[in-house]
Amino acid sequence: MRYTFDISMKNSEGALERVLGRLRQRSFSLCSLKADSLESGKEMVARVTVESERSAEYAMKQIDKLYDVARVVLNEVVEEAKQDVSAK
Amino acid sequence: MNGAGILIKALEAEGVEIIFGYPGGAIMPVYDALVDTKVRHILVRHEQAAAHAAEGYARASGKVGVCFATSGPGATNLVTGLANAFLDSVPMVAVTGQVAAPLMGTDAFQEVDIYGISMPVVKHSFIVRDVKDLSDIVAEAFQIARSGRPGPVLIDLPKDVALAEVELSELPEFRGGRKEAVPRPEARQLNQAREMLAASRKPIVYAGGGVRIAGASEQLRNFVEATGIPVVTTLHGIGAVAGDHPLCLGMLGMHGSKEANLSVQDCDLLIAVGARFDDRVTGKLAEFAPEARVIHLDGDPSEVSKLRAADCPVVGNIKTSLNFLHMELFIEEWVSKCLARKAEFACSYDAPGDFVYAPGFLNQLSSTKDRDLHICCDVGQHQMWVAQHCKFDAPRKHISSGGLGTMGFGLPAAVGAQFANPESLVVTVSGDGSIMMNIQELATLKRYNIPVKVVVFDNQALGMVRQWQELFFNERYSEVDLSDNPDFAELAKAFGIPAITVNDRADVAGAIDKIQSEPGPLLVHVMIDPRQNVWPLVPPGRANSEMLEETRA
Ligand SMILES: Cc1ncc(C[n+]2csc(CCOP(=O)(O)OP(=O)(O)O)c2C)c(N)n1
Ligand SMILES: [Mg+2]
Repeated sequence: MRYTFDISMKNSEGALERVLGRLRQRSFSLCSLKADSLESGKEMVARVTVESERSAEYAMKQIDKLYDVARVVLNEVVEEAKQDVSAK
Repeated sequence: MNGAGILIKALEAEGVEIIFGYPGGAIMPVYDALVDTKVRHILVRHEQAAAHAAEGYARASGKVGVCFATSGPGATNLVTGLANAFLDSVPMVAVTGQVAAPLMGTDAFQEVDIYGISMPVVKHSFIVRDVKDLSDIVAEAFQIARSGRPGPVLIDLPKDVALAEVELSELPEFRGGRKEAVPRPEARQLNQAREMLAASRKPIVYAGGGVRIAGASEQLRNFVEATGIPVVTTLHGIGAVAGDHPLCLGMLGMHGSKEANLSVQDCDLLIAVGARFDDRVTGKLAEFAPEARVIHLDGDPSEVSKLRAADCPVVGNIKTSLNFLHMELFIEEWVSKCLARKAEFACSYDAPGDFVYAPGFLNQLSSTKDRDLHICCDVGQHQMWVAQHCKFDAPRKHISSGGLGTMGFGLPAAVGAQFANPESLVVTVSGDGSIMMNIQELATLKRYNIPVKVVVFDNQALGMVRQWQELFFNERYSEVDLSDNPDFAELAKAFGIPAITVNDRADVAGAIDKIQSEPGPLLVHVMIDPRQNVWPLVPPGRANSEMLEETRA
């Protein structure tokens, strides 16, 4: 499965690194990433697309646990990932 | 006042009484500030031991443990301790010195990116960039460490920040002791849980470390009294109900009791209380408690339905949930079946042979009730024997490295546990392999005259690994032989610690008396059968019903 999450977090040192590290370690491999710090400088929003056999809920609960993360929303789910894998 | 002074003041404001640590260049300003405080600092002899001692203190006391280390190697030495506390959800605050901020990122002397290195094994972490933030960061660190699912928090403090002077009037007021509220469980889920309970004929409570974390032992006991449901526990659930309670079937899982594992496999309702379906507990997950519906009470939403879907997830304060679930159940038949099993499989402790029988030694040690007993374990067969054969009346009294399984944890953890409970009898149960991983802490026992009793079960081997090689690798023994061990009693004496060696069963009672009565530290070197294994055993990847048992006569 391919999931796209919208994540908003406190723009503190290493916050995005924690999110990416947690996703990798929990077996969600990164497909694409766009992150911006908002004008205030205090908040960062990231749109992250990952691929995994595991559920979106699993990733969301794990990300939500991070202290700097304010909100995680599942933006999109694409099933095509499975075909990609078998095609390789 | 400088940053270091502010750090110490903020720790005082949090009520910190004791710090375990080891100094070095980058953290020198902090050690300088320590001279002026009443907070006690214990100099351990390796930073890993500082972290484990802080954890032992936290686990035995329920407070937040604190440790210090310098930058570079000091900080990397802490990492195993942070990981141990992370996996066992123990509240800790670690402060590391760091090179001065302008030098960070230049490969300066003793610079490592401990912030990055430790990220996956801390609950949260901070780099202090501005001295004005420091007191807030400390308060926040303590709040994070103890709230929700507790865990270790790292504060990396660059040397120039520690030295930076600020006017006290510029600082926000010291705060301390904030607490995050645990959510209230939902009424709908609680009602569903009640219905499932009322409908069940063969319920089992499966209690884990979350009971200790929530401080819910009393509520669990009341629930068990009200419903009469038999209880199994995980390694960290030991003591959540009294070990000698008639309804306690002991530990489940890989080295669980037969009565615990078989009862869970048979049950129609599994009430998981602060437990996380760890692989050492479930065996083959797909065949774990195959007939059971699951009620899962937990404070951490990310654990519910992580590995086993809960039919009724109850997220929130475990105490409140348990209190709501009292009811009278009609399960006599089931309970008598469980209790009959318990009687059938009870250990007799009359093992054949002449060697000291470690399970018997431990059972005898934990049966002497005249002093409040805490046991800290290392990792291996001896750790499982403690879990199987010692009885505990509170979860805080059994301190074992569960999630990480860190050899070398036991001795420094006991240092911390003894400071948390100066009047208690604190015993480390270690192996001839594990004890060597933090043996230097005998010097800490000596220096502070810490009355920890160190029991070393010497089977001349990395016994647990040897057991696996025997059973699962066709007896191809590889690098597990320790028959050239040092003489542990002489070694202790070199540290200035009295020691005895026990070779004979006849000497066990005397050794236990000495453990009870010796006023200061003591090492007890116990020779045991090198071929003794831990039974029963669920082979890896198998269902918990497929336990192997002792075969050798
Ligand atoms: C730091 C660390 N290294 C390696 C292991 C793997 N390991 C688990 S148990 C064990 C043997 C422990 O030997 P000992 O302390 O003598 O205990 P015994 O099993 O003999 O009672 C080993 C090597 C570990 N758990 N921790
Ligand atoms: Mg051994």
